[in-house]
Amino acid sequence: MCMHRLYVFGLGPLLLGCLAACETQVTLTPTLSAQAPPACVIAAPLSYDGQPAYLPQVISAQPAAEPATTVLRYSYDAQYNAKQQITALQPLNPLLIVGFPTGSNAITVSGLLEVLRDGKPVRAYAAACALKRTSTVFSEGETLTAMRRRALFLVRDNISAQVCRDQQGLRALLAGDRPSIADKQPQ
Amino acid sequence: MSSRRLLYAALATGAMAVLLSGCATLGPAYTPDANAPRDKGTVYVYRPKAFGGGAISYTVSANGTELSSLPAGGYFVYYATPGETEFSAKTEAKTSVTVDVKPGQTYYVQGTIGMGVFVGHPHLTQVTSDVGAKEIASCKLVPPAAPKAVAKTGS
Repeated sequence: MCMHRLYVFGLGPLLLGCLAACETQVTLTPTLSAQAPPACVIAAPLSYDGQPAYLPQVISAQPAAEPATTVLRYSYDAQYNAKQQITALQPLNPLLIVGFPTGSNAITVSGLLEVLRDGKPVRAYAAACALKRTSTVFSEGETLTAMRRRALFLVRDNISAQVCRDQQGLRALLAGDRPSIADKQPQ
Repeated sequence: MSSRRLLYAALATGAMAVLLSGCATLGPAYTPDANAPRDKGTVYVYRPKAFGGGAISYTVSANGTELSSLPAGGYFVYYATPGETEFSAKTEAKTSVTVDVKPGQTYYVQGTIGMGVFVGHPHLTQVTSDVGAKEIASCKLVPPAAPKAVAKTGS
């Protein structure tokens, strides 16, 4: 009976704790309110040389007939941080058989959408996402490739939401590039 | 008695064979590559010597194409086509890291080995130029194997 209790109340939570540690932890900033932002599409000249899938979906690249003074520029960056070396005492750790972590992988992805006027940023929307997961002798969990892709999508959607919340201000800013429309703006 | 000795000899030979199978003959010490095409990115894939897992070697692939084996203390150079390139390796577990390659730029992918149940788990990660340039200095070139040498340059 005592051994049974030891298994249930001792090893059980330990195993569950170790298994829970295998899940990828996600931190995304800024944190936006749960309320869904209004849908929008912002059409503007765009400067972007990355994968189309990672571009915030609210942005529609508009071809400029002549060099535009106001353009949107989107860029992202990914930084890896892995700790996976075998240390001298690690093979002697008996907790490895219940899934004790043997290392960790982390990635931080940042995205930045800037409104450039004459080459100078006049407004910016930024987001960052950090993903971290631990590995065990039984499982490595998500690969860094999968974590990077997930983080880029989260950053993309976060910036999309920020843009849609601020769409009136952004549209006014972009309209300033077109004299015919800008002249009608109230002072 | 003689059969027991024979058994010990067989076990010792087997153990040595397993241990030495991971050892590889490495080439010259690291020198920066000066032959990189301008329209490609240069990726150094290296694996510093470490406490454990030195006998284990694994094959590194780029976008699914096998490039070279990566023993402890070895490195090789890969000229990647601009864009996303996924470097991967597999033993009993899979690892992969994606590098956003730009022409004319240099990147470092670091390989290590972690603990596994039957065999070590390979790990690949991208490191900064500062870290990569420092760690690769103690590595030696992995001689290209005949069939894999074709894949040195990205498509």
